[in-house]
This record gives sequence, structure tokens and C-alpha cells, in this order.
Amino acid sequence: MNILIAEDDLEVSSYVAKGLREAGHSVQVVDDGDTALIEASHGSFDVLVLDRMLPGLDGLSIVKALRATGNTSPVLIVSALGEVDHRVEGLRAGSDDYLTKPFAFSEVLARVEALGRRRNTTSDAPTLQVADLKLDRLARCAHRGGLLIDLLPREYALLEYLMDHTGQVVTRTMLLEKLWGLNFDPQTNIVDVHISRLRQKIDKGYDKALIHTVRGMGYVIRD
Amino acid sequence: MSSATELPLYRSSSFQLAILLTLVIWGISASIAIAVVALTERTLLNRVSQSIDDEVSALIDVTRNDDIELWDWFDEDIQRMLIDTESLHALEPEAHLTAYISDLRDIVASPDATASADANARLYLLGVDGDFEPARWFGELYIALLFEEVPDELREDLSDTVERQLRRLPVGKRWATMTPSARLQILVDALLREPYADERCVVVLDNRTAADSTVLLDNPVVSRNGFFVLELAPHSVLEARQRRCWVRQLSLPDNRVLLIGRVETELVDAVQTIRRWRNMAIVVSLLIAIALGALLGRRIFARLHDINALTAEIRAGNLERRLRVSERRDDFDTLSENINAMLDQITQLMDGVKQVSDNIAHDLRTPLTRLRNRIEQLTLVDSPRREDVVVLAEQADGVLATFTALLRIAQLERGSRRRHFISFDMVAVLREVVDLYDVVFAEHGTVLSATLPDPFTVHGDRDLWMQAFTNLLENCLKYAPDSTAVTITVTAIGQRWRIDVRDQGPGVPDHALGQLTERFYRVNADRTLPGTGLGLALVAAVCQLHDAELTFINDGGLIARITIKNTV
Repeated sequence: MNILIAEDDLEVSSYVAKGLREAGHSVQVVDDGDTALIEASHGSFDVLVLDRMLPGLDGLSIVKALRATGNTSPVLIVSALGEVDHRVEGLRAGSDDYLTKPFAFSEVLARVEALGRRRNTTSDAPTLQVADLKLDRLARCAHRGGLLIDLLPREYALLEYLMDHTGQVVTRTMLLEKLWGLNFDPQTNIVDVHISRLRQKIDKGYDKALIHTVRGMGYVIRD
Repeated sequence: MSSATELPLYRSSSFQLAILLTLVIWGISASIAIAVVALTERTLLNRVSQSIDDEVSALIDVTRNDDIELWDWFDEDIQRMLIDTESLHALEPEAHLTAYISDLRDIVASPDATASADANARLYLLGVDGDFEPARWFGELYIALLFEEVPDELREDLSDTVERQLRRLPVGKRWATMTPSARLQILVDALLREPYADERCVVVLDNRTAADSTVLLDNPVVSRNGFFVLELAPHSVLEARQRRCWVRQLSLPDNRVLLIGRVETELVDAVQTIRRWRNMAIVVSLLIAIALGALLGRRIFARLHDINALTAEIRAGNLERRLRVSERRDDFDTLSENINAMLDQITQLMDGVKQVSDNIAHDLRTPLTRLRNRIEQLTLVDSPRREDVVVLAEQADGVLATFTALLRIAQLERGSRRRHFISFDMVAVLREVVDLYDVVFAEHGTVLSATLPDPFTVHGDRDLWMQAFTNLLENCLKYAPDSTAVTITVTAIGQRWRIDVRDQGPGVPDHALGQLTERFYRVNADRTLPGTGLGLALVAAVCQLHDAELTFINDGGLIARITIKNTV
């Protein structure tokens, strides 16, 4: 993917850029808001990673300017302002995701990839499939190998989210935030518990496990 | 810096207020006094002048009317006397009259100017100096001189004669033959015989008598309502004592002047009295106004001075001082209360900040130092092991979590999030939390159950309540791991809802119950467990933000009880 990073802290930007490049993406880094807007308007980027507080135009203004001109590039706002209000403000301005500093690189990577992919696929397909696991969105049920899997509503929602991001790493924070609306980090591993419950139903008794743990990052469902 | 004592008096708002109050009170009361008096005075004078004007016009009418029944002008005594004097013997009126006229002429010639003028007027009235016709002046004489000016020895005879003549002559005829001045004099006398005659003042002046000061005009002043004020000489024509009169001036056709009006009686005195009272009222009201203004201004000044002095003292660092709140519960008391509450909050916040910085020093320095030491150790190794680095990252995450929690609590305590409050269903929040956590509890062999009522609405921040309940449940997981059941119970207590989160753990020592919500407070035995020590502090902050009450109870485990008002 073609990614633009606008970040005035060189240490952060080089750290993120290096990681993204290692993950196989092409990255361009700018360090002020005005340049970021010019680059974003002219280049064709799959994802924009904008720091909220930049010299010149700030991140939110850039998003608003882009949206006003019809540019729909996915935007990830990165900011030290992490309260719910700030987050809501960021999303209202037109950004697609909001990540609070300090962050782990895996979090950036997972979210950037989720954003890039969301752009390319329509995720409202009535059925999702990974290997022999089928999810029927209309009937809100899942089958594996033709057998109906009995899922609780919460388990169904979790599976749907994972399958919607098939092949992509989904971090714990993403699940808490986007699936359950928890904008804070619980001290217990509730994500792991829920995943393990889901695994019991999806993978137990099958030769091939579909839900994989990605060490230090999160989970991925893939063939 | 400025303080209350350095403020010049004129800049003090209480002083300005006092002045303003004084002026307002004085202005209002003086205006009322002036208006009332002016109105009363006007009414009085109008009434007097109206009655005088009525008399004047009646007089004018009568003197111009030849057909008037003179009889009507005599009072009952005279009428009765006139009827009963059948046996009156004949009299020689001419003889008496001649004697009377010569008598008057003697007086005219006498050195007493006033008496001379008086007699002169009589002569003139009798027509002696003009056309002398006894038959014509007979009636005039009778009326004008009746029982008064005639010398005593003459009176009886004169009276008898007059009576006889009157009986002989038809009254109407005599009236018709009189001169207007004679008619006027008759009327004047009749007026003077009426009740209240003492209040009347009727004087006929001709230029000569005026010039001779028969009637003493003592500084005649044109008063309001067209009145002249004059002093009548004590031995004037009809009166023996000096009188002060308010009169109307009326020019007669024969160049003479009729002054008719009222003696300055009690009625007029009343006006003077009222005016005196008015002036006194103005002065007294000024004094009262000054006193009231000074009193009020002083009170306000004193209260403000107290507040200023105390706030200055507090600003100087004496934060424990508080403003006095009196029993009166006035606006200054409200102000004082608000300032006191503000000071309480400031003190609390300052204590909080101090405590936080102390705690940060303690609770963040330790892990940071540990982290630093580990990094230092790793710098000594050429190729550090991956596991060691992971531990470093985890420690750094712990420090960051503590830091985030501290900031969040601080933000909650500022209360600014109230702006984003919405109405939401608390039961739905509880259900969601239970739904998320029941599997987690199940992993520990604990049953998480909830007894939830019908939905009820709370005005607040949904996310914060999610976090609060999450924290409470995680505390159960952490500190009561052996519980077989954790229950959430919601009960309605009047207009409030009580939400209990109950575990079956060991509870906490009673002395620690009140301290659980303090930042970084850990019951001693728990120090070894992971955690920021801020979980319950955040729950407390959320409750405080929502005016909810948070208490902890030891009851076969620990109950965390939140009491929240049911808002619609």
C-alpha cells in the first residue's frame, strides 16, 4: 500500500515508516501540515497517517480540507489527545480511525492495513467465508463444514468482525474499541477470554485452526 | 497589590450606594411632602377663593338689581323688631340727622386722621357732600349706621324714627332709589351680620380714603390665586382690632374699589401650618435618608470589607480561613458560602494535586527507576535477550497506564465532561458489562449474575459508567478470586437506584473502607498484586461527577454500593 505519514516528531515518523516498509508498504513522510495537505491532494495514497498537532495546518484541518474537496482517502489520526471527546472530534472531522499516543507499532500497522483494505473491498457482502467456515449475515449464523455452529450474539459479532478483516491482524484494542465500545484498557484479558471461547466453537475438533494468535499484536482469521 | 483598605472612599461601591440611597429616599419623601402640601393648599385656597368669588358676583348682581327685596337682607331680629314696633312714637329724623352729620363733621375736623377718614366716608356715603336728600338716604343711613356708629344718645331715637319710616316706606321703593354704593354698603353690613362674619373682610375704598390711609394697606402683596394680603387698621370702619386679610380687589363703576375677602383665619393659618410641616418633613426626611443611607452603606461596606480582608488573607496563603456566614441568609451570605465552597474545592484540589504529585513521585518513580535499572543492565550485554526487552516494554506500558488513569481522574474531577452528558439506559450498560465479563468470571470458576430491573434512565456519560463497572468487576476478579459468585443487584430506593456489586471475598479491614477510593491506596496485603491502585479512585471520580454516592460495605465479602438519582 501507498502510505503518507505526516508527523513532526522525526523519531516517531522514522520508527513508524521503518516498520511499515518492513511490512511491505511504500511510505512517504512529511513533517508539516501544509506539505501534508499538498501531498495528500496530489498523490494517490491508500492510507494517510496524520498527527493531530502538526506545524502549519493541524491534522483535523487537513482531513476537513480533503473531505471538502471530495478526497475520500482513509485517514488515521494519531494524537496525544486521547480522551473520548477528542476521539469523537477527530471522527466528526472526517477521519476514519483515531489512535492515541503512545502506541505500539503493531497497533498502527493493524489499523493502517484495516483502513487500506476497507477501501478496496465492499464489506457488506451477505456472506463471508474463510476456508470451510461460512458466515451468513442475513440469518446471523455460521457453518463450518456444513455444520451449524451455535453462537451467542456476542460471539457472532466477534466472529463477524474477524471475518470482515480476514487475513488481517486485529489488535485487542481494536476489538475493545470498535466491537464493544470500550475506550479504555481493562486490566484483565477479556479479549483473550472471548477469543478462546470462540475458538472452542470454531476450531475445536477441526484439523485446521482458523483463528491464529499473532504474538505481541492480536488475532487473525485466515485460511 | 490593592486591598480594601487602600481604596479611596469615593470609589467604594457601598459608599456610592449609600449616597444614592440617601438621595433616592430623600427625593421620594420630599416629593411626596411637597405634592401633598401643594395639593392641600391648592384645594383650600381654591375653596376660599371660590366662595369669595361667589360672594362678589352675588353682590354685583344684587347691587345692579333694582327689584331686590331688601327685606330678605335683614336678619330675623331686625325683621321682628320692625314688625313689633307699632307703638313707636313720631320722630324728627331731620333733627337727629343734622346732629349726626355735624357730629361726623367734627370728627372729620379732628386731628385723628383715621377717625377723620372714617367719618368722611360716612358723610360721603350719606351723600352729604353731594345731593343731600334725606328721603333718599334714609334707608342707607339705617342700614349703614345701624346700632353701631351712631352716638348712644341718638341711637334710640334714630332707631325709632327709622323703624317708623321703614314701616311707612315700601322697602322695594327705597332700594330702588339708593345709589349703588349705598346698596353695596347695605349688603356689606348684611354680610357682616351673618354667621362667621368675623371671618369676613369687606372694605370699600375710594381714591381719597385710600390716600388718607383710612384703610391701612400694609405692604399689600399679591398672593397666589389673585389675592391681596393686607393689614386692616384696628379701628377701621367695621372692626376694632387689626386684622390680616386676604382680599380680592374689585373696581366699582364710580371709581371706587371694593376689597372683599377673608380674614386670615384658621383656614389660612392651616396653609401656613401645612407649609411649616412640609419644610420640616423635607429636613427630617433628609436626616432620616442620610441615617438610612449611612446605615445600609456601612453594613454593605463592612461585609465587603470583611470579604476583601479575608480573601486577601487567604490569598496570602492562609487557606484554612473561611468567611463568616450569618443567620440572615442574605445575598452576602450566599456569596460567602459560594466563596467558602470554592475555597473548599480549591483546598481539596490543591490537596489532590499535592497528593498526586506525592503519589506520582512514589508510585511512578519506583517503576521508572526499576525500568531504568533494567535498561542499564541490558546496556552491559552485547545482545540482549528478547524476553528481557519484552519485560521492559511491559513495564513501560504499566507506567503509561498509571499515567493515563491519573490524567483521566484529574479530568473527571474538573467536571468539564458534564457538557457531554446524555440520557441513557443504565440497565443496558450493566447488561453489556455483565455480558462481556461473565465468560471472564467463568474462567475463574465464578458465576457472575445480575438482578436487573426494568430500564431506567440516567443523565451522564455512558462510557465512564462502563469503565466504572468494569473496574468494580475487575477488582472482584483481582481481590476476591475465590468467590463462587459475584452478583450485581439493582434496587429502587425512592427516587434513587442502588446498584450493589457483591463478591464473596475476604472483604477489607474496616479501617480501610474509607480509604479504598484514595489514589494509589492499596490494602497492605495487596501491594504485591499488579494494578495501578487507581481503579476505585476512578470509580469514585465517576460517581462524584454524576452526583452519585459510592460506599463500601463488609458483609460476607465486599459490597461496592453506588446510589444514583433517577433522572428522566
